[in-house]
Amino acid sequence: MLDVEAPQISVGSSQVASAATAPSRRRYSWVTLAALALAVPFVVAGCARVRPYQREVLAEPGMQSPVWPDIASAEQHVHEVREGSTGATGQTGGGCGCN
Amino acid sequence: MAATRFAPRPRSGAPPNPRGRVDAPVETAPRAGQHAARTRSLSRAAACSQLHFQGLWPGAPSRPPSRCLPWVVCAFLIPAVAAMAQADGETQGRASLGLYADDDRVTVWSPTVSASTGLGSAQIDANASVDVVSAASVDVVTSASPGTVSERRVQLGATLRHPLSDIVQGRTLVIGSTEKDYHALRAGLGTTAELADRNFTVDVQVLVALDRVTSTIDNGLSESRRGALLDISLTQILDPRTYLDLILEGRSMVGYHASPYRTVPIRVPQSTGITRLPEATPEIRMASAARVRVRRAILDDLFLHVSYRYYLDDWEIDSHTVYALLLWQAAPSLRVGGSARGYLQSAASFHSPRYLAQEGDAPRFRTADRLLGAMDSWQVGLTTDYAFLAETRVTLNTSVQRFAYRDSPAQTHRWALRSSLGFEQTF
Repeated sequence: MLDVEAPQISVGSSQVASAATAPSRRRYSWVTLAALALAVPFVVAGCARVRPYQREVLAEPGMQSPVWPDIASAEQHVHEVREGSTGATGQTGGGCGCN
Repeated sequence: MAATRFAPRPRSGAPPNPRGRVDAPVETAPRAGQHAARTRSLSRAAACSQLHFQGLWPGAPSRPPSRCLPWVVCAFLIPAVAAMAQADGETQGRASLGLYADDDRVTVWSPTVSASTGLGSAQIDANASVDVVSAASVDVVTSASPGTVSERRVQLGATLRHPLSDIVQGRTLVIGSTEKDYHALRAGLGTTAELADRNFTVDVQVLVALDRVTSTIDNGLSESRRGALLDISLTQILDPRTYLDLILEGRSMVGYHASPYRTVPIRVPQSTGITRLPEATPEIRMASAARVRVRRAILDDLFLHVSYRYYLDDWEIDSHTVYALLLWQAAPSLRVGGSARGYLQSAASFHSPRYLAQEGDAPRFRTADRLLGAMDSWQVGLTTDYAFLAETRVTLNTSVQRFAYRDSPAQTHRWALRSSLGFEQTF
């Protein structure tokens, strides 16, 4: 549609982006650091050993992830098209009704 | 209502207005008959766009991608289905019907079928789904179409899992989807290794992504986007009742990220007028995320899953997601689960609901897309499944979600209902 309704907003200085703003990557390395920090518990936990005969509860369907794969996949697709942070989940785009 | 002249996005190649030069406000008053004429023009353009697509991938010969993509996916699906016909292991078939509806007048029906079977030591999964979209949302009314649009998206996928050794399993997967103006393909490899006497599991998956964006109002538009996706999952058994998971995600996409339908309001100094330019975003987007999850059996029949995810990309969007699922095994054949999810997101560094053109130049990167602005969403859901006749299972899921857009004056929030009914049969 070519006729576009302008948003009904009062434009204050705080709402106006002035110049061309290139996104920076200054905080990007924090994710790497956070991932390494989060990996530490795994290294520590690696010392723990649970024998096969102790894994009856771990084998329950309620302990699996995802518990309902089809529902999880559908939910993930909704999140991919309705939110701004996408992941490496292999979901394909579109289907959002937003075009 | 102030009507403005829409500047259609230039074709790929050298744009006629590469710096987003704003010469003068182009705001005009609507004239009688103008809207109807434009609507007719758009309908013709939409019809023509079905005939004049360029190749699916850069350099590919001209052909409609909506015809090309299914063949690519079928090349993987047909061997999978043929293999299923000769299956010598247990076979499962699943079918479900999902519904998504929100108060922004978007409705999506999603029938899905999938099957998995064993073939020797390997396992094959195949699935197909269709999203039937009917939309008259703010996005549609203000940009792409004169009213309600109906659209169909088809997705096909197949996965082959095969053991590489006693503790290592490999998999090959392909997923493709196609719709009127968006075509996507994902293909890749994955491997799972069980280490430390199967106390520690490592899963790595790498996908390549190829997307093609076209437009129903600009039949010359054909843009691509490509990239790679990496997913690493580490799972550690902490004790006989607890799993600890760490999931790392990485994604790098290069190409066209904007929407061909979205425009951005630009205010010109010393003028009362507002002009609109096509959305423009950086060509590269790199993102990563880390998620920690704990799965614990609180009681023998009560299970709790809790996770937290942090996401960050080089557009300076970061987000926090918390999720909890409480699952009760009410009876050997009956499970009931309640879930809650919270999501908080910051805005992209170049996002603004309205921009200012300085010295006649519009910002190089500009978007008013509310999904790239600050937002949050909250969701609660209930799922139950019931098994009967020993080999049949019925699953019913309903969830309610509220999206709040803090940088979008045109739409501040949205309520959505999602529900699905599924059947699973083991042969």
